Amino acid sequence: MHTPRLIGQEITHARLNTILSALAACLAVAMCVFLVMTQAAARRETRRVMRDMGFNVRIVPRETDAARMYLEGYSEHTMPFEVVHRLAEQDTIAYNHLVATLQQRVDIDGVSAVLTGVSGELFPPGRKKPPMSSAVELGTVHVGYEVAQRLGVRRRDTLTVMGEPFRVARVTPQSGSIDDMRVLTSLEDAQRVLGLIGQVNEIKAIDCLCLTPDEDPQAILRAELQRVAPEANVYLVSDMAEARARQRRSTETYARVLVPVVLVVCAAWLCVLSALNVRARRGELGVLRALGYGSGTVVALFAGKAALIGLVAAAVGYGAGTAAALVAGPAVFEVTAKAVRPDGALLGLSLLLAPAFTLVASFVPIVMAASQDPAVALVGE
Amino acid sequence: MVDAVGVSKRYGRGTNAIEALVDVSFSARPGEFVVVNGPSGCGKSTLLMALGGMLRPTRGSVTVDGTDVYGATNAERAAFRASAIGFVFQMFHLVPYLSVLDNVLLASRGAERGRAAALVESVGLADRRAHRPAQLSAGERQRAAIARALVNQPPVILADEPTGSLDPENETAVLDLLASYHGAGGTVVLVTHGAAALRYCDRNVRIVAGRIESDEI
Repeated sequence: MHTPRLIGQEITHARLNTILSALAACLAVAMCVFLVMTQAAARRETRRVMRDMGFNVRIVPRETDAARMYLEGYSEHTMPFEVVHRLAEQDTIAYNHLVATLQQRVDIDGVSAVLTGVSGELFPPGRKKPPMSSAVELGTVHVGYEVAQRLGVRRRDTLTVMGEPFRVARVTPQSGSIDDMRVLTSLEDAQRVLGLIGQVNEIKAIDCLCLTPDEDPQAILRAELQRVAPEANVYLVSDMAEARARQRRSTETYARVLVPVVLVVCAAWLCVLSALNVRARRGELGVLRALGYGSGTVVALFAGKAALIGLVAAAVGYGAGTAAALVAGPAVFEVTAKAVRPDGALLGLSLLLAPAFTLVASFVPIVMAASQDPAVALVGE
Repeated sequence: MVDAVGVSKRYGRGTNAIEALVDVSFSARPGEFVVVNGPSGCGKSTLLMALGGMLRPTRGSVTVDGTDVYGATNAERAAFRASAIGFVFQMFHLVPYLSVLDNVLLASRGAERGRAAALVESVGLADRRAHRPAQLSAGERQRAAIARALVNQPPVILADEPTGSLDPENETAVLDLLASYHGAGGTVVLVTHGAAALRYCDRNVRIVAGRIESDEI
């Protein structure tokens, strides 16, 4: 009689044990699949939320007086626009979404505003992302809510800035911040209007550091900048950066804690069921040994059953985990709901790892079965 | 044919040690029907397990058909059990999830299905061959177990209280089957604490407290 047939017959006989074992393995697979799928969405969600919070790194000319910059909102000094390209060419720096700006306070028909020229976003090699900020076309302006209210301008009106006419492409909604007092133009337009061709006074960016609480991101960023652009200095908008790092850490910690707990509980569950199965089959094992079957056959019987349970659990658990993620994911991760989608690679991984998991969980009972004294089993029954 | 020399078996260690067999020498000639009897716990089953290569003695040697049973490797001993010994137990020990026929085939290691089916028929279970052990009476289960023990045509049958769980009618049926095997030239060593088997045997060996007390023809 072939071992696979024996395994099949035993599985149908010990249905409850098999079903409960498969349930444990299934739960482990489903939880892992669910967490992996939703963690990917959670990471994207975090990125999106953090992105919406805005830039958290300010790179300004080295000679900038920080106190004055904080009071004015921008550096009174400028640096070459070429610096942003130099930064963007580095594939080892921890910044992304680099945007060069040129800001200066201007008077428009008696209303004081901050003229802000913005470049398109630049990305280090291989780290291109969807842009965070909307570009401003040449010859157009985006007018802040308060400026627009005071000047009485609307979309499609013409606004003259320092003697040069611009079409109002957009009036930005009220933000309750300095942005309501801005007039955004393209960087080239601002440079021309302000007579500072090829100059910028700030490069905004997002740091990509995933640090532990005891690391100093500002020191790391400054060291990187010193190497690439010694004429610049970097300031971290720390509350935003910390929020970003904290959010990322908490998401990752959640998965790091939950996955091992689920795996350990399910492994213990499998181990107990496997041990009960070995105990219930003591007589059968004794007979097999009496009939001349070696311990290899005994191992094959139990390991085969464990692997088969793992395979079935992988398929069912993948389906269950995916279904749970598809149902619950969009409700939890509203911003990136579409990012929660089935992952074929996870199925392959589940089919590979779930049998390994059930085998490891059943290892001790399998060894117990293989080393069981057949005489004791037969006489003791 | 079956030869045990100076076999002792101790279970446990220290003050809790139990001497199940003490310097027992036992032999059974080819074609002999030997009954080993004695009170419960006297070491009968231990001797049977030792003879069958299932329980390594603390001291002494066992030879069956020229094979030093405990001088062999585990794999060799397993092969020896498969080919040379047929076991019958008091509690039958049929695999519960297999049919009668499959239980017999489990022991056959490649024997023809037809031969197994014929054996099942010969023990009176032709109409029960597809049934599982739980669907059989105690007597039927033991007859199925005897068919399983006979399927490889082993030269020796070791039976441990094979009638201990049976009513007198089934007891007779089972002993008749073993006698039939013996009549065809097989060697039977049957352990029992009952008296019914004595009328079938060539020799009666009595064990008390791990020692052979008498060996009568």
